[in-house]
Amino acid sequence: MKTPSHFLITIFLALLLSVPLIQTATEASHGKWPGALEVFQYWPNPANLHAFERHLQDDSLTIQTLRPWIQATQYFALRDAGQQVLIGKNGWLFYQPGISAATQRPHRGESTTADALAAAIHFRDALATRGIRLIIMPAPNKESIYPDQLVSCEPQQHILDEQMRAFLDGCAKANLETVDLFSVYREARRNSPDLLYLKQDSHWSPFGVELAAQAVALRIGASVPTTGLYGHRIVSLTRHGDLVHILRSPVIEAQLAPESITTTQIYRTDTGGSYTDDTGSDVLVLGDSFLRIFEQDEPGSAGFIAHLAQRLGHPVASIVNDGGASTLVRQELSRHPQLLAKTKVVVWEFVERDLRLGTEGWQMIPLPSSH
Amino acid sequence: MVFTTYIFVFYFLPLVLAGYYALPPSTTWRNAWLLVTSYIFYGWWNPWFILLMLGITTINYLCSLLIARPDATARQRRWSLTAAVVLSLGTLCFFKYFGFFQVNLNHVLTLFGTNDTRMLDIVLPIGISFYTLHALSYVVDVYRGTTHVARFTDFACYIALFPQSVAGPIIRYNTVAHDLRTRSHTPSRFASGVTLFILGFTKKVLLANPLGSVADAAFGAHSPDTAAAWFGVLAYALQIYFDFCGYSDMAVGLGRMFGFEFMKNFDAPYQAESITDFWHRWHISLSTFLRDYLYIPLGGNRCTPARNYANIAVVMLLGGLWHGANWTFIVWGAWHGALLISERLAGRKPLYQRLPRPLRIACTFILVLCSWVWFRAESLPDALSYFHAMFGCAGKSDANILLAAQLYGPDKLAVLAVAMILLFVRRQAHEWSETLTWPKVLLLSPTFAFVLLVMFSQASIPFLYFRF
Amino acid sequence: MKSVAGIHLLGFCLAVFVLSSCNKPSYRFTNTDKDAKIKTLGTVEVTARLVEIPDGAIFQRDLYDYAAILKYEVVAVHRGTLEKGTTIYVGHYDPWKPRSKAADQRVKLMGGTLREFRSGSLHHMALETSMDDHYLGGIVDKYFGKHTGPTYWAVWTNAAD
Repeated sequence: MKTPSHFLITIFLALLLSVPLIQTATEASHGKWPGALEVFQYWPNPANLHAFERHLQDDSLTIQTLRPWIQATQYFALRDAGQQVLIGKNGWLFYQPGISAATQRPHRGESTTADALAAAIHFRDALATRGIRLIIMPAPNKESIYPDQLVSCEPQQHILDEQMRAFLDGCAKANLETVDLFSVYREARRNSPDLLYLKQDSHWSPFGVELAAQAVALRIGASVPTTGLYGHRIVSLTRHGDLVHILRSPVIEAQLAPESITTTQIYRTDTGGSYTDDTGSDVLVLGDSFLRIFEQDEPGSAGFIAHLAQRLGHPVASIVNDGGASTLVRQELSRHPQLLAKTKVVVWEFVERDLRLGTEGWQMIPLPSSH
Repeated sequence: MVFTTYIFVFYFLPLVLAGYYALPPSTTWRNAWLLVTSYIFYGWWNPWFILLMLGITTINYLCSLLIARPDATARQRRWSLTAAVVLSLGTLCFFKYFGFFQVNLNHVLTLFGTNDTRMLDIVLPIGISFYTLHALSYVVDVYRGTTHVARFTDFACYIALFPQSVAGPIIRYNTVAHDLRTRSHTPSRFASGVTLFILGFTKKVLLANPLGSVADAAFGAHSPDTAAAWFGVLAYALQIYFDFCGYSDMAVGLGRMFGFEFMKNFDAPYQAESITDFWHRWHISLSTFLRDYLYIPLGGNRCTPARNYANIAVVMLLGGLWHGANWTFIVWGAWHGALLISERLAGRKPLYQRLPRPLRIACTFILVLCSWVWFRAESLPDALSYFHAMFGCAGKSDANILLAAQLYGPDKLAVLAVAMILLFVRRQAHEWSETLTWPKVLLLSPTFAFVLLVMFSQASIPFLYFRF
Repeated sequence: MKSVAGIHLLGFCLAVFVLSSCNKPSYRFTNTDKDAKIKTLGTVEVTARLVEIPDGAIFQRDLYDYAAILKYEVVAVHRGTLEKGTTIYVGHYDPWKPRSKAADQRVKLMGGTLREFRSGSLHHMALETSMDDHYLGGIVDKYFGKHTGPTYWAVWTNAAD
């Protein structure tokens, strides 16, 4: 190179050209025509042009190859996990949209506590006409229970319930029956070293599950008989939490040791088989992924539903809808009228952040017609 | 299309450069190529917007022809100028301010118990504020006789030229007229353009985007505490500077790659010692445009002091309104207008003139920070509640504990520290890019590669000034 | 002068590269009739026009998977008992993903060549009915309560434009 200018121009153009050249060469080696030509395939309206731009980027071999490494560098060097995850202390990860739901003013179209309250009252009243009791159990956000694993704060600030308090107070005023897990978990944090939430996951731990199941069973207790139908066994597993998965970086995932978890799986003492639901039960549980973890995920039958059933002494029915406890579970219930045929109690779980972010908001959903 | 996107960097720019340098070295062919590719660039947001740009180009060009006709009377020339101004500003006002007018009209009607009028949903075409000013500056210059009538393709190329069409710098026709007819291309000029492009790219991707997330979190918070509020507005001040300055550097750099020389848009504005000084350094192309096409025609300072203050107020209010159809921008303009008038009253000196220079800079910076609250807030009540938080009047909230985690991450603090240091570097990008040395090149090359890598991991974030 | 010629040559090479990439048909045009899966999977096989994508029906969900109900007008019936011109409601799993990448542990049998859902486009689909018998999970149904017929479950979806 004769001069710095020539050198810089060469490097600049080489960087600009290397990416499309690699892409074209790779596509050609797979017998494909350049993806960039897709732009000529559709009428150039804004939607098609933006879709083309998105596809071009999504299909980029360079980005696919390098992005995980860049993310890993940012993660480990700068403790920057991107827009979805915040890195806490001691390996704790937190779901950023959940935190934003607590810290930020609502955007247009987002739900409010009043919407949730109105939907809950409507649901309770509809169930009451059929003699069914409703128990509402909001699952706290992880950061509401462990803010001290995210930032340094005073011991009295170790449980943040301000956001949920307004909802629970509203429920109390409307005579809605609730299970206050914030109080349960505050007590547990004082008295036990066991973690209530998983470090790498947005959900509760087996200990958190058991306390929740116990609290709900106690609330239902008086009206439901118990038998010795179920036993339990310890099942250990190691897994990366959902907050590691949503980083979509295999490099980070390979570097982070999976979390070791000891669960308690529920089984039937008569058959030895793992717990299964009974769609004809008098207890119906509705909820989101807090009900799915350990229950439908590995190891199975070790989640909230199985533990509640064990404490009640009989199986329950359930509708589980990831991220959809605000409205989608009730829509699903309305498509399955048979589930309400013998129901006496409905337990409705939803995660705290759904007060704002619940999928499809908090719609008034009519109950299915009873036949 | 945004400069810091995959498609622009790896497909559009190489394609445009390839076509440009493959064409015969005649400006006619090359301007035509730049015109076509600039329309593609602009039409990427919405192809229909090209028609609007073409319409404004054609109207202003026809008016300039009428003005420049040898047999045109003074009256005809004046009417042609008026037509260009009314049609161009009318189009701008319709797209940019009609919704604002409707909202405020509805407020007034509601006060008198009348029903709301139906709202028209008008999409703001990107860059319209900039290219309307470009077109008007040309017609006014033809009217004043300071520039000659251009060829249509040259004029259309000037309006559409993709490096500067959507967010400036606001280039006047007569500053690029020569380049449009004949321009030279040398490796050193091309390389200085590459240098500016890389520096601007770096400012946007490494500094402005991460700082933007901090500012967004603070300004969107329920009730930030005092520290968070100040931290947020500081982040915003840095974001808007590195975002807009980065864009301007990239625009000037791209211009140089194609043989154009655009004006410098920023000159270390946060090193200003007064608000008057700030406006000599911030968005220079806008402030000089407003000076030459509004302030001076209004009488400038060659009039009574009272009239002079009124002129400053009008210019700053309109300057604020130019940024967006919202009362917050008007108050932002009024804030700066009031500060400029106060300095004019004190003999073009700030009230803190007697303080040592670092403190003068600090005082100016704080006044500018406060102005950014108006600029960034979504409404006047939001701005007021943010000021409440900044001055310790906000209530306590659980949410602030979590907000701290969103604001004070080590990555954010590191970026903020680097940005603060860069603010006070004496040599700005423009000067730095004038001469290339081996150490600079050896710094720039890996920097560009690194910034591209970071871009791969970021969501595409448009430049802030695209919305104005 | 020599340097300018160098830039010129480089520009020409870039142009040759770009132009040589052009004037070839895109590989994305596929003949859906040759796709065996569309012929064999499901109980109904139709070509239908996607009438609309309601606001908020398709979005990238970070933590969870879901299905969205989309409204179609049947253009041609290849298998099953449906009539041309009928409006049908079809559930698509994780509709923000290309069909070829949407299958996962929960929904193993699904796919197709469709890259992206766009209102007005034609889809060649192999469907099952009723959706509830084939899919258990989150459903975003913007038409909830607005239709009474069965909801179909899309097993295989090819672009048919």
